[in-house]
Amino acid sequence: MTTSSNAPLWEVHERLREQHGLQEVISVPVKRDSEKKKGELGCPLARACAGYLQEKVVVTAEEGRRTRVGIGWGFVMCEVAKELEKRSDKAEAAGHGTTFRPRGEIMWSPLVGNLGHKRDIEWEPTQIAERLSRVFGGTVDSFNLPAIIEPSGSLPKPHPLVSALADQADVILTSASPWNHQNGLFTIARAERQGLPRVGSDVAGLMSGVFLTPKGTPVPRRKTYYHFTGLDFEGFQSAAKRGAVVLVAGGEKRRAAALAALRGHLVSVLITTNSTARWLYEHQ
Amino acid sequence: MTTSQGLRPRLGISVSQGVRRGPCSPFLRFVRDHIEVLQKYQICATGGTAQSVLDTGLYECDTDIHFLRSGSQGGVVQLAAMVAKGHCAPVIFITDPRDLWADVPENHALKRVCIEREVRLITTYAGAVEWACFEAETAAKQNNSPPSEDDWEPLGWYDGQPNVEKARFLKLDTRKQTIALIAHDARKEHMARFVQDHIDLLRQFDRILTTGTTGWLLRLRYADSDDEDRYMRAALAELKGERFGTLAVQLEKLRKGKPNTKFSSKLLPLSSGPKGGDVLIANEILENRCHVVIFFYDPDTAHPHEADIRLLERTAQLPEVNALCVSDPVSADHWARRLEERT
Repeated sequence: MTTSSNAPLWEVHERLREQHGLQEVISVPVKRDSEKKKGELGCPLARACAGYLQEKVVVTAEEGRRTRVGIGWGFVMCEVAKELEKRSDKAEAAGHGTTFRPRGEIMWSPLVGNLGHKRDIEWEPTQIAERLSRVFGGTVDSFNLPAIIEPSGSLPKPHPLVSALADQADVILTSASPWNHQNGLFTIARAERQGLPRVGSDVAGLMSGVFLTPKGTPVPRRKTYYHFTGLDFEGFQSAAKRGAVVLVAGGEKRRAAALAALRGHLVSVLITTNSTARWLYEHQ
Repeated sequence: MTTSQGLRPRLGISVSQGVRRGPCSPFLRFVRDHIEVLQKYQICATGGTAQSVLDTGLYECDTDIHFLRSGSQGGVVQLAAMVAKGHCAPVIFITDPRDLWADVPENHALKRVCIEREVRLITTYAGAVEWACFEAETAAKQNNSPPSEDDWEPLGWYDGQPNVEKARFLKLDTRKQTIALIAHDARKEHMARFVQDHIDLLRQFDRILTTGTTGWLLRLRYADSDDEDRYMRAALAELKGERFGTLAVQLEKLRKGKPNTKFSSKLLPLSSGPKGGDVLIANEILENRCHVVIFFYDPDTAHPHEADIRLLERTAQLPEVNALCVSDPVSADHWARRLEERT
């Protein structure tokens, strides 16, 4: 029997595809699965994700119909946009700029409302969506609401964009991160952290605006918790069934969050590192 | 993994757009599933294929991938020439059967050269997967001698001067030009007569490329008596078996010419046609380093290397190529006489 450490990559991919019903698994070869400096894993993952997104958007939009793309937030998503901007500029310089401008209409939608980044505003999903619309063309369709809503406020009606993403999106691009003190959302929330699950509690990770347990179920909601304006757990499941959800998550710190997302059947395409792929193969 | 000399074996790839288009296309899945194995090779791929591999984002930089021209612009010719020179093995070559372009002569020439040079040729997605799963790793470890850059070059080889510079066609003096002389077996007498009639013109060219049998025939015909034995031994070493037999038969038919060492020393016989000699000449045409092709082919007999014949013509017809191609003795004679009048 092959163990994960000596299993060839194609076998790891095949097993992950079968076990979790994935359309595709993309593993980026990396020297080590831990980040010593920022971007050491994020940038190669973003490059691979950019390649997938470029091919998917162009081919889908070339069919002439309206294409809807959901975009998550954070460092990796921002790097995806940067990579595609670079490729588009290179293609333009070589006279092939039209390869990035497919015929059909493209709608770019952030997966959550405005997070309120003060320092890393380029990580906001609406900002990333706007950058991608400048590369490929199309329009940005935002929530125009904060991502986090006070629990004392009246529960908003489900935003129409949520059902549009759940039922119609051709691609939903997101990352998954551990829920700890370094998490971007935790940093933004600051004094209002009592509205979020406690760090160290039974939370495997955060996927866009969805907190996941290690089993892949949504973290049970308490009355004190914030409401999130964005695609919810059921929305992700519905989109994943249609083959639309692309999860970019790799490295030691994000493995648990990636595994939770897979167990929750929230993923159609997984982009990760080769070491994380092997770890997931072992920990199914 | 690198070889003991730090070089990786070269893997040639050319895949039709229909097979690689789309994020979950068979080719892209192949690259993603087998990236760890592919990185043990240096990838040499035709334009669109190379770009698809690069766009997966799994390679850090484009120095890991050697870009050839696009397939329809001579990339397959370049790949075939690399195989003929022994610089590339194996080759993954997958065409879309729905694609009309799949049936062009350069595609057939590549397949033929792979067979003749005993290079592993993979023509289906399933074959590529099987190779990557079971053979690639072992093959990369075994192939630990660097590709020899000189094996294919005839003695005295040197690069010719290009006649295109920054897309501008240049008019080179005859003394700086390269001419290729090729003749099928049934037309070798015509070639011998053509050379006899215009030898003073031909020896003005900088280089005279030929396919194997034609070249050795002409060399032996115009060799000095001191050089005859040496050339005969060299021809025997180069042209094995059947082709050497053909050479011997042709020599018997033709009367020995007056020795002309200036002409015979400029001859650069490449491999014989069936062994990819025409592919090597096509590559020189593509690089604009072969400016005139005199090719006497026999339309009456079916040839096993017919694809190579059409390959030469098609290559010379590419818009960015500046080469003259003459394929019958009458036109060749007219061309030569006009040039003789001018010089």
